[in-house]
Amino acid sequence: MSRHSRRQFVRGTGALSAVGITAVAGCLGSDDDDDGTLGLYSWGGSTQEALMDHVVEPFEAEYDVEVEATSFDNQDSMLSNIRSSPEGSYDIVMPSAERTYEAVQQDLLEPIRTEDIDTWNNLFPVFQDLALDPGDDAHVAPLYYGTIGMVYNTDYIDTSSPSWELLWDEEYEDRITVQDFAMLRVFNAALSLGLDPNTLESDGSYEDGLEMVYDAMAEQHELVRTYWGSGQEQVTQYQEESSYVGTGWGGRILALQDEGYDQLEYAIPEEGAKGWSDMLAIAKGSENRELAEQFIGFAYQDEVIQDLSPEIGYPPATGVETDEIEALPDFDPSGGEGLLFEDPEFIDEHEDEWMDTFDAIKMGEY
Amino acid sequence: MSGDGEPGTREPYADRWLAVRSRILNSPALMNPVHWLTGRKRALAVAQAGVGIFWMMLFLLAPLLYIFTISFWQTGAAGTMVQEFTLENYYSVLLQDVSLTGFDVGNIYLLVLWQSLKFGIAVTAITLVLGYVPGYYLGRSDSRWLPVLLLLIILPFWVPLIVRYYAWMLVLGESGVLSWAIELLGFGSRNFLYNDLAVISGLVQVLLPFMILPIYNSVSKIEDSLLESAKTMGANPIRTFYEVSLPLSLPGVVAGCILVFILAVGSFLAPALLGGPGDQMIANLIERTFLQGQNWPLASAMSFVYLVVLFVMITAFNRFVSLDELFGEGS
Amino acid sequence: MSYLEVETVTKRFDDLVAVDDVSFSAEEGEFLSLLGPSGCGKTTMLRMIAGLETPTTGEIRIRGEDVTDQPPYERDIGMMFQHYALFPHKTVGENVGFPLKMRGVGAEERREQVAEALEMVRLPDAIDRSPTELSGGQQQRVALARALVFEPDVLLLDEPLSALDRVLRQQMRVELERIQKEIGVTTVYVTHDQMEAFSLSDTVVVLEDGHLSQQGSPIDIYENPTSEFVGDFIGQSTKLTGTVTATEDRPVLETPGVHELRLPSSVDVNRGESEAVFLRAEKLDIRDQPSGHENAFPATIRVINYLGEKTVFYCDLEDGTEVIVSKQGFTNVDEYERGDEVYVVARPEDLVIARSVDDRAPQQVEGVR
Repeated sequence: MSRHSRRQFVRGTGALSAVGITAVAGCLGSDDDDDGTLGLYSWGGSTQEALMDHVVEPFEAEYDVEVEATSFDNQDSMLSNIRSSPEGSYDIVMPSAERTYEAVQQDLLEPIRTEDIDTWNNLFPVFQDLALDPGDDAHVAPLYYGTIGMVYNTDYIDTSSPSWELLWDEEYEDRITVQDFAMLRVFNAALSLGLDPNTLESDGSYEDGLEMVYDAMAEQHELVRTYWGSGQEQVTQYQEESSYVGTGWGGRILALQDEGYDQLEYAIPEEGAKGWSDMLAIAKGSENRELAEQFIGFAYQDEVIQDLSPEIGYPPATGVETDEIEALPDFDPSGGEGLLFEDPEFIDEHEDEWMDTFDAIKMGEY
Repeated sequence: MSGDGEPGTREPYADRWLAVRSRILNSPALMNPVHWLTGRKRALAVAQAGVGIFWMMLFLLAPLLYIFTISFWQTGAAGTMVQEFTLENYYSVLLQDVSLTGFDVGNIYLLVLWQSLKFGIAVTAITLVLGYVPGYYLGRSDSRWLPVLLLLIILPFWVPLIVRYYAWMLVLGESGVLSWAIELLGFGSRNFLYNDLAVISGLVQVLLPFMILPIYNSVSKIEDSLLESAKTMGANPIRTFYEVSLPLSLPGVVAGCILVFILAVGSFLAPALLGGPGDQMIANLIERTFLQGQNWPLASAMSFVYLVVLFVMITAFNRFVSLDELFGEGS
Repeated sequence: MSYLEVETVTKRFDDLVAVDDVSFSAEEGEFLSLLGPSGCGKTTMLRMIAGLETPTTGEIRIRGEDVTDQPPYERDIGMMFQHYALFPHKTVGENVGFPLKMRGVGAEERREQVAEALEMVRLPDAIDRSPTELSGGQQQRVALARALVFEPDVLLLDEPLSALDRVLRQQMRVELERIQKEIGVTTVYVTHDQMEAFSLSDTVVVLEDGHLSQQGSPIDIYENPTSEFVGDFIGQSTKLTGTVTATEDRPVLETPGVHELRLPSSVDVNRGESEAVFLRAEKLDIRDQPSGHENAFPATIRVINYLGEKTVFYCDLEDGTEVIVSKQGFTNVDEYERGDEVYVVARPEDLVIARSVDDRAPQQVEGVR
């Protein structure tokens, strides 16, 4: 049995598709082999702006190079684009924790030669050898981290110790919103049921635990106003008070609070929350691997990342600490040790089935 | 170039220049310029068609072929594809959880597809009802404001779709226009978002121009003399309408229905933004399978089945309508 | 009281006066033509009779009933449109049966009458075909059958032959005349073609620029035009303009091309007045010598068109004015060739001088043929 990545298929079957794909890639990527031009394919929006201001521009000035920035708005389309473009189309890409495993398995990333990065040791130990990065080599360089926590509106919900139970509370029927993502729904349900989200085992049985999780998801479905798909949809839900409680991203809520939505609260419930991290990585076939590593090393400098991270709204993956950083909603005083990361192999094994069942729940067929 | 205008037969000292010159003068291009040009024109037309076909191949057929191919591949770990033939994907899409004897269809794909088709039919029916009158009016109008009115119909296309859906959310939402108006009338504030009706109304709002324009187009092609002759033969305006205008506007109706139906069934943003937790449509399912699930082979099989179903439905619809047109005049 | 009466009808479109104070009438069974160049208002006039336009002022009566403000579908009008306006989505039978259906005629009776009407236009087998499969001439017959099937009060025809080729047009003209006479329906026929109007009509109404120029029988219109416009528009003729110089025995017209053109002695002209005279092409002669003819003036043959039944000479007078001479059955055409110096002969009594009815001398042009 032979495994083929998308790229190998293109190489193997030749011209016709390849012409089209290359044409598209030419528009997206920066496959310049000119020295001095580094392609950066990052999250768009405010993340990209912060990266430009605090990393890219100083880096360009210091190294006298040009960084060509392009952006994506979700992990999956980023992976698809890398997958369907010829090698060398991208230099630095930005996988998140939940797609790191896929990116590495699909052979889309170059290993990072950490010994060439003098600021590598600034990273918290957890991030230096991330469990969800398979193999011995490091493929990703975590930049900042966060949680997928709970958002609630204090005008309607009064709680001192927020718990995931709230997302199953019938009092908030039709005022609950959670992300439209089967894997996260399973993870979340497991947390609220007190199961280990990375085994789902109940009394040693995956099947029993899974059934409990599915039941909980079906129960929650009856209370949900809508499943949100993008960060913007999430913001709209809480901003318009369509929903009073649900899951969310700390950075987005922080931005809303800054706009005056003080009634919104972001919390990591007592049962814990799934951690995540956004990483820099080097795309397979990059012709500027060294420069990319210099870029990563540059970003890890205290004076760079301590300005970047509050601007993005998430605490840095390095040890630098300022008042501003400590005040971020996702800040973990234990240096990332408290974050619950998913087990990518476990997910990969079961995700299709979870998706099917989540769809069945949505269609009232569970 | 063939030397059909052979110059003089015997010119012992015929210098080259003379031969060349007579050749040029006798060349088809000069001797029969019209014929020569039409010949080239045909070549040009072939070239143009060739470019079109090439473009189709490149941007339509090649990706389709690729999707068709990988729909028969196996899924490996972590979203990789295993290049080995399997019918598993089609089995999952078409046969899994389908029990024909008891009509117990628990197949999510088919259920979502069915739900999408229902949305498509509802949206098509509503846009037809709402779009016929303006389309007809514009088609018959000889107002000098006609270009402006047409521009107004097309104007929303300048606004990105996502913005139009967000605008619709502002209309239906918690603090939206509709809720405000209903409150003014003395009823309590209500939320009209996140349900079937929000999806359907949003699609209707966005797709209405696709119904109006083809109807406008075919109505504007109805010659005045046909309506006038109906009148001189004793048909009052209402009978003129359903004896002449209505049947002659049918091509536009059919085109509009097909366009709206395809766009509605395949809509992605409307269910994502306006729909409730149960409002799944086929495009969202395929997208999730493709991206979240990283299961390209399965998503490809889904796409292909969807394509075939849509194609069959439209062909059937088209056939049905043209037959109707042929035998429509029963009395 | 006439069958169809049009009384002082005027139609304005914004600033444009399409029809200006036009009155005429037709008796039952009469074939009346509205003749004039394009833009003269003849089609607008027809549309007002049909009810497709409403007159700005004036009145239209059919069988004594004022229909001026009646919508078309309440009038009993059979109208045939220029491009036939057959319904492409209906069969020939359905097309022809349409006016009957609108009048509530039952299916059975309808079928009979449709068959009869198609029989009349000699297309009995076309009943189940689509009009789009028919030739232009066949479509025309269907349109005629459709306009007549319900025995309308008035049949209106809007340039019905203009879309046909020449041979077909001739056939259809004969056919049309046959059918109209057979049924005896009062007919108003719009055309810009003098030959069509003359060959078909009892009465010709010449329209110029919205107003009525002349109304009369074809012979009247041809021989006694009451205006320069009619004289010019009708027939093939050469117009000579000049000043009346001598009136003792015979009036003479002094023109740049002919010098002395003798007019009929009976014509009522005044010395020193400017007059226009029309030389009908078919009434002129070509001679080698001027002797023995009253009005013989030198000319040079520029073009000879041999057309079989007739030969047309295009000649230039001394001042370059073109004179057209048309000879029926001219067999010795070989004797002439381009550039020949000849004499064009015009008998004084064949000259046509436009006179409005009031001041027309009764003695004018008596000696015609």
